[in-house]
Amino acid sequence: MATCEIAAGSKEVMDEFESARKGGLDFYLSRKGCAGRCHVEPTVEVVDPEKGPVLYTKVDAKKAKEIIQKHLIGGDPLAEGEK
Amino acid sequence: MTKQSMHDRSLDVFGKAGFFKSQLRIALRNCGIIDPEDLDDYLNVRGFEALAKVLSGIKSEAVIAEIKKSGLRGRGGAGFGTGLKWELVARERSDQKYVICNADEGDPGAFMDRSIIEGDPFTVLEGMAIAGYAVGSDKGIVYIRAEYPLAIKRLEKAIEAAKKANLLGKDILGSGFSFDIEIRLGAGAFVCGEETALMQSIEGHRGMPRPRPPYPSASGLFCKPTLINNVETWANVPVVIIEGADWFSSVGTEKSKGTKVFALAGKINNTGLVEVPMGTTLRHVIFDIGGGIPGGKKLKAVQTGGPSGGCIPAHLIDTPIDYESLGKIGSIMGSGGMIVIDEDSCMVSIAKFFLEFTQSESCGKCTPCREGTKRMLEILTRITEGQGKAGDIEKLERLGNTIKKASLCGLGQSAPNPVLSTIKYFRNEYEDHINNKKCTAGACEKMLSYTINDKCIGCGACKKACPVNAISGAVKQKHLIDQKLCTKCGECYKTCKFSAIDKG
Repeated sequence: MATCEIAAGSKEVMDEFESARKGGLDFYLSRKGCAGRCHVEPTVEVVDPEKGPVLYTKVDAKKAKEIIQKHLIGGDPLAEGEK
Repeated sequence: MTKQSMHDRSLDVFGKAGFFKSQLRIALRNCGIIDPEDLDDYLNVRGFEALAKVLSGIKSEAVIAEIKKSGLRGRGGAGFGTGLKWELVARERSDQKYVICNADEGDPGAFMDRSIIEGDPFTVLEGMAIAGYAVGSDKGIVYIRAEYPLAIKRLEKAIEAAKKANLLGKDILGSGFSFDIEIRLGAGAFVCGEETALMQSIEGHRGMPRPRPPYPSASGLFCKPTLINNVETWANVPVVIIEGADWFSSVGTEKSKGTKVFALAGKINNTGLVEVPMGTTLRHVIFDIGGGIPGGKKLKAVQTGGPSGGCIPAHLIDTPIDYESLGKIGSIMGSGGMIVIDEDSCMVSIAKFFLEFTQSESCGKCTPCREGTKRMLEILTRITEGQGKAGDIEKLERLGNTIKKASLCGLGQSAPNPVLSTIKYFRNEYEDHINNKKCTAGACEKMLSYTINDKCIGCGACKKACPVNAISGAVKQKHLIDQKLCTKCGECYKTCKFSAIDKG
């Protein structure tokens, strides 16, 4: 999360994941720096050790909740996620 | 490990989507991959391996020779040979030498240095420590602008973590070499990115350049030999040491080695930071990586190098990006700003925008820059307001060339570039503004007029939209715009569904 990504709304997204973890969901959460894709920020990458990484672009708090519910808890990546 | 391993890792993480596929990430190799506040993350991606390698028995002369051989050139803009700079400082005999990181990134639209520090602060520290060992200095200073609070915070954390792990400080890794880094904040003056002004600022004086020689390598900070490099240059150093000069110099062109990071902005689909090998064409960056111009508009020009750079017209976009080629067509590499301009933009306004910036940032020490840029701006302003006179273009050219030749520092020497390059390639637009009082792109507000044509059905939508009640007319009858009241805001033009409003 660089300044520009925070401006694009990544802090709200991070807060969602943090509160999910505080709520008891067990996953490793890490912030990264700027990858240079200003046009699709904020981005979230979910890595399932068995199924590999899935990238979500233009994530907001609402979409973050959806990712937590469907992907992290349900185990099914959202259709829009890029593999 | 393969030679491209550092870049391949980015591809593994980000996928092989078009945006990353044709990039080669050296300076940005860890940005977006590691947690910038976690030293372990950096160590995992071969962090501090270069420093450890150097300290475990490579002679300082050999380190400098490797950097020289790599062909790395300063990424701050001027492109001075990094290895040569190191050698000049190493040659000096002094009780104290300084290593400075120039993180005073002031170009409007450029943010690669901030991204590197915010995404991978350790690499800058590592690069500086390697240089400290090579030139015989034990003191590093990062000069960073106060407008980058998050970057400063991450840098502070990184320095603290590195010190704790004995990767900075006294007797690093038991090698006997000591190197300490501290942070100095700049107050956001553009001119403080110029090396002599930057050092004046660190010393506590007013940030103003001084004539060179003496060069910083002989007499820099506190009159001691000083090595000063840009953030992006530092980020390249560990890679040169790990992967070797031969690999590094295999990337790029004959005279410009390695890669360059560009901040792609303006009228482009994929805005962002891109890192490409030197010699990549502008077309490739704009259309293949940047995804072209939104709305099917035509490319008009590309502005590179920020306020010190020039405008490159669309017909030259097959120019390879390297220090020499950009210089030849009247622009510069600069710190790597790249602003894409489409057909809706007026080149005179763009030149004026950049000159406004350099004029207000001129420190005022030397007359050509202080007075010259002001006079140039006055002329440009009157041209965009429809008051241009015959001979203005020639006067701009004469002033511009004089300022370039006579100014003390890089700010003045490059300030006229946006104006001179737009005159060179878009002279007809200047002539249109002056002779026909017309701005073809329709961007100069004062020269615009909105009129209603016969397509008007009298719906009244424009009348409602007009904020100054300049439009009159009965329902179902052609409306009229009062030119004296009109503020040229363009609301009526945007509102009309019948193309009944002409702009021009």
